[in-house]
Amino acid sequence: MEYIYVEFPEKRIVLVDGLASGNTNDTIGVQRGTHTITLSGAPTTPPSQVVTVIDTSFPNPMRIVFN
Amino acid sequence: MRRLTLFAFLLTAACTQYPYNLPQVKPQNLGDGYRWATTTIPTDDNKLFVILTFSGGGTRAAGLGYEVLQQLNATKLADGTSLLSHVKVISSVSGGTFAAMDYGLRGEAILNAGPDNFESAFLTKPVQSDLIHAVFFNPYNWIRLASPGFNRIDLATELYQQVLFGTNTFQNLLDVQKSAHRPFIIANATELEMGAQFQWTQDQFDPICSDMTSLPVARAAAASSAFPVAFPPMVLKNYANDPQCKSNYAKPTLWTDTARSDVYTNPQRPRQITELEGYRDPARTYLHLLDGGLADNIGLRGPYHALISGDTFVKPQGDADNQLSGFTLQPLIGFHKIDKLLVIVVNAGASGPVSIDTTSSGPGLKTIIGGISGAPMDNYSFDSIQELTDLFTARHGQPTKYYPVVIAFPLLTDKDKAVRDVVNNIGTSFNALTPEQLKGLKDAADILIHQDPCFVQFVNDVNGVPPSPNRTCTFGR
Repeated sequence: MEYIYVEFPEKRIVLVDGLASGNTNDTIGVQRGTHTITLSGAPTTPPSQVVTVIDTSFPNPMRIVFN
Repeated sequence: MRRLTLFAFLLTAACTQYPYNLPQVKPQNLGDGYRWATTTIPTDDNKLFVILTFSGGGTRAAGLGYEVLQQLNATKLADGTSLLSHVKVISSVSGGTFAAMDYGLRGEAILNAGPDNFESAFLTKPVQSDLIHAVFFNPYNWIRLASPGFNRIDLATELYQQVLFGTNTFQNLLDVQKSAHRPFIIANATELEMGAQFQWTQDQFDPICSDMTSLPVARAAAASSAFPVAFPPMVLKNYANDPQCKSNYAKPTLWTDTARSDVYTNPQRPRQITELEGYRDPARTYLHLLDGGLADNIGLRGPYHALISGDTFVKPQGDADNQLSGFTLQPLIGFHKIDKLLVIVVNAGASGPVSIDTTSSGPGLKTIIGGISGAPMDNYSFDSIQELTDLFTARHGQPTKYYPVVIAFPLLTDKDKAVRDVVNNIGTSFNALTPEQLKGLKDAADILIHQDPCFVQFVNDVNGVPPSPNRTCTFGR
């Protein structure tokens, strides 16, 4: 099990491979491996990010920043 | 005239074709069919979330699963509800599927005295000898079994309908889930070509472009318990590349595109893509299903995958804040909908007295086949439980609290040797259980569930009782 933390100025839904999986600015559990991260709502910069999530933990998630 | 009638009768019997599963003739819609997204569970109150897994093991497994349901029903929480009412998912294999599916259909009625009681309806019925009689001593069935379109697994389906499930279909199962908020029942079989787990849900039938709604639930129980050699594989039609297919199946492209590169970081994901794409292979016009125990004899693999992954065989549909998806708990956990999650693994694996090693002569073919198929199943079961406890250990301290419970006969101590001996000596068959065996299973379930520190702590935590310092749920921490 791996963890991501998606930073964004406001609360949005985080989609992991298209699946609504949690909110921005919160820690979300994901399966180990490569995922496409997008946010719900108005377009973001960048529109999506493909990340490989390995060697994380709940206290030390992978940080992914959107604007 | 009489001869002509007899001839027509025999000809009809000899041309018997068990009806195939139907093609999907409507566009794929996660709001239709027997699947996670159509149950009430994703939007129900899920603060307490209980998952049960029922293993294989003939009537021994069915009986142990039934007795665990009884124990959960008798466990009352501070708010007046029973723990059983918080069971959201039951994933089952082989014999365990009979208890799981019957509970899904009839609910608490199977636990109470009356015509629906599971003990009198199934556990004490000589199902195995009925099946043997139907195969070997019924001339009408001899003729039907001579047909290439009808075999023993089809006969077993008919018998399970007569004995327990009636004509109930997966539509009926979905209807009662919705009206009574029953658990999502996942009956597991094994797909022979790839050795992959095959779950009897519409999410699994979508890639083969088949509508499972009208299939009898007895069909799933028969496939789930089709022990190799004793039964031939159950045959399903794969309509993925058939002109009758009208579903426009949408492959979940986002994860299947990226996970392909995870061959070193997480090889399970590329393997799952291989399975999914395998169902779409034009060469595969049929699927052959055998006992679910070949891929996972404790039924834990599906729920475990749902706990760790959002990868499913169906592409999510709808807006992000009102989404339909395949069976995954990633959204419920990610949005903090679950406060406490209890997984009870009910493993009816038994170790009878020494038999092979009492003599220098080699065992017979039946024993060897049993060993070849049984040993990998048992070894995989240990690994699955270890993965679950490792996962829950790693999640310690997170907003959702996790509680793993294992119900298994080796956990009966010498203090309970008499009970352990009784249950370990129940053979793996569909023979009727004796009163002594029924009592043994009841006592085993009672002892095992109440001696488990994680079960005790779960109930105490729910009821606001301080944990006992001597019986804490540590599971490897």
